[in-house]
Amino acid sequence: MQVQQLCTPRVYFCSPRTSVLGAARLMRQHHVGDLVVVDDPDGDQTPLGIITDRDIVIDVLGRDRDPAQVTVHEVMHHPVVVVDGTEDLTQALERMRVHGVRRIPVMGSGRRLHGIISLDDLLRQLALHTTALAAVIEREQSLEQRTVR
Amino acid sequence: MIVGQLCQRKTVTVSPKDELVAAARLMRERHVGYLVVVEEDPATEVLRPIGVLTDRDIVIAVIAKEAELKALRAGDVMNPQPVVIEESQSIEAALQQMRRAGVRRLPVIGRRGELSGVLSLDDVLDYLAGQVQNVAGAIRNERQIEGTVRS
Repeated sequence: MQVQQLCTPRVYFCSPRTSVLGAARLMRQHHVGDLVVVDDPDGDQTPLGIITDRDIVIDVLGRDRDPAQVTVHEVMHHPVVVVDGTEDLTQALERMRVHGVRRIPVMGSGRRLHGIISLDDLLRQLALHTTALAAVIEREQSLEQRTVR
Repeated sequence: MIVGQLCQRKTVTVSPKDELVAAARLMRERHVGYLVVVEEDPATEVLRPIGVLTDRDIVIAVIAKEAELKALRAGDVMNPQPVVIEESQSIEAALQQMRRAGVRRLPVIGRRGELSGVLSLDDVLDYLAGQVQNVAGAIRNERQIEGTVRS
């Protein structure tokens, strides 16, 4: 399965010049825990960085800095690990493992962001496979019971 | 497999009167995004969990009450009366609790209601992954032994 078939299509952006307080408001508004940082949301959406709610607490509040005075640029993670929408899920998982991240922006065609894929998405997919496997075993066992009789 | 065998024991705690800024500093120093708010039970004298505080809760509080950030305490922002799980309960029971409450972490309590750890979905996942590895290993070994014995 390709990443673009499973990823969450909604991605929320902010500019590197947005204040951390502004970024926090955007996260709250959209009920998300992270924002992809881009220069021009209408043009090239190649991510410049990612900022998470955790970063806001650890790098700004936890250091007694005023979130209104700090810009996203100072706090965001970069470079960003991305995956192409046409890549396979196994490649996305491998990238998460290698870089120790749980969410990866998904690039579509024309330098546009297609969405975000998370470890949770992959986990749910694996769980579906496991359930299907269990169903095969269940069926085999029930058929076996009937044949023996 | 019971909760006590899988949960993390090194929990980072705060008291409800601690400043929110201090909680943020603690999250930074101890590399965590989840704090358990504890209070001494007057009857039993143990530290029992009365709330949980996540990094997201802190961020939400900052936006809502930016002018008074310095005045906020952990007790003002925490999720009170958190769903907890006893050490002696099964993993199935723990997962059920997580699902019902819509959370990924549960403070773990001992027999006297004292905080004794935290169980997260990640801990259960790690354990399950190990079990799946064992199944794969059993299959591999069976093939290998079958190949050796009957060749």
